[in-house]
Amino acid sequence: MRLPRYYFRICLYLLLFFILPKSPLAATSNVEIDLNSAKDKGLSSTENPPKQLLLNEQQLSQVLANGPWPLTVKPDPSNRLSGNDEAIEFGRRLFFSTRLSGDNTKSCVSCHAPEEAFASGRVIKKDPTDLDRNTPSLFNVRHNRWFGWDGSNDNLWAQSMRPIVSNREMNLPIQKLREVISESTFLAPYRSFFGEISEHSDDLVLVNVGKALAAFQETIVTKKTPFDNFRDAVANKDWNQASKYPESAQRGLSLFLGRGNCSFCHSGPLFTNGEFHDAGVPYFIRPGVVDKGRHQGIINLKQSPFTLASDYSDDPKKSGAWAVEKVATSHANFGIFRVPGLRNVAKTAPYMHNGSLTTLEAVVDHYSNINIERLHADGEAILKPLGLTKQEVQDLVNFLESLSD
Amino acid sequence: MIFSAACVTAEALTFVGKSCEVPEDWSLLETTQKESAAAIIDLQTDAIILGQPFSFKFTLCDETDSVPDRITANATMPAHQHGMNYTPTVTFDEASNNFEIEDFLFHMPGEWEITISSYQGEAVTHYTKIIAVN
Repeated sequence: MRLPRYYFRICLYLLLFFILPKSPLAATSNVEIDLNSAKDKGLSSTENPPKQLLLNEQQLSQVLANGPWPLTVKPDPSNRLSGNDEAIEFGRRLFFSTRLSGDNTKSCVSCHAPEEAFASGRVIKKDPTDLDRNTPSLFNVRHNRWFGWDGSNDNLWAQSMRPIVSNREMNLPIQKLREVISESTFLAPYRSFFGEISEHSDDLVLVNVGKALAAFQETIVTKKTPFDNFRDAVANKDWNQASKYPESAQRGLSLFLGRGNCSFCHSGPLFTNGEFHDAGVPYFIRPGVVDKGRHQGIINLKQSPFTLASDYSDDPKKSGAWAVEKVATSHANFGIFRVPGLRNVAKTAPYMHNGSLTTLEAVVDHYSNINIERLHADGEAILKPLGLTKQEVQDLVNFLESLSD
Repeated sequence: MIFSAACVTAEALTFVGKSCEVPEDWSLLETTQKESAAAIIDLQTDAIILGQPFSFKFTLCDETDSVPDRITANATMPAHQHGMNYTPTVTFDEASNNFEIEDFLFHMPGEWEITISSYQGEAVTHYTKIIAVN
């Protein structure tokens, strides 16, 4: 005799319902702050009773996974310059130098401006020469597994090489890069870190410049935020401190973790799972032309000679190479893009891979009223229209703003 | 009491019929093919870190000690209708008679259904286990 798998589970649920006593603190109940108990445990208190936290136990537990911040970092084993102060300074000079562009007018800063959150504040496609994608911020970029909106690279130095030689960006012919380094004050640091440039191939010169640029970009890290103060207070059970987190941000956080399903993709201390998803944003660049997103990214990645599996990596163990070797190709990758981290998100407008949304309110509205017809029919079943009220939209925005330093 | 007994009986009938001694830290997989050998894995759910690759072992409780021609392993999130973004590697370790499954990666929290398929000649047996990842 064979019974359906769900038969005994139904039995189990019935047993639990009728036999087990009701829990005094159901999982969805709000946490009552007991000041006396807090004092007994040596937790801090203030003269005024703290407000009741608006998150339930499960949500408070989830919050802990969004920190602590900053993360502990180790030098990138694939980059011999990683963490080297002198190399970081060399990389900083390269980052700001227009000599890395074909016509001496552009530098990395042209698109990754420090005063614009190391991104470009302008809405793209205003000008025909603009790029098709939104410039991603470089905040916390060292923690990425994949780089760019489509993950065409698996390391920061390879990603840093790409715009230098791209004819739509800095447009420096790769053969000219040797000349730029050799005939400038860049030669001395280059030689000290990498040896004689005359013995290096054009590709290796580009890789080495990429490594210096990466060493600098690794230092672009966001600071602690109001959310982190809240998260740490929860971790320490310092309810007085935790209750200082604004109620509206708490309500937004509750939506973020719960009904909004935001935390499925925006998880962990970086508020991203680092992977690729369909956000319901059109991937048409112009009539008849589509941005293939991760689909093309994996093709580029597999063809790249500059991955963590390559001899250009300084890591003899080739740690991290497993990802490029095992990344799965799927038709569902078409038109999906990397989930950006949300730290300092209030400073990185415009939003989405194509920079089509200019405010956080617009982003929340987009998800609240998402057009499921735009989602891949055979794709994920995560996003659905939320129908948020005006207050709920504002709460989510206030929460997102609390992620900025 | 009768109700409880019925539940226990139902659960027993849901799992594979063949017995298997399950070592500590290993767990049984489910299969709908009751005549198949039982299968176990040594996956420690608590040790899984979201977004980080992990490995575990798989073995069949087969009294004949025959080794399958091929084992495949994958996982999906039933609620979200998507799978993993990486293809794990399965290798056989003759010394331990276990299959080593490397580079599983769960990139989202929630329930994941692991599916391991054992191929022997024309026959295939699918084993599953649902686990929750936070």
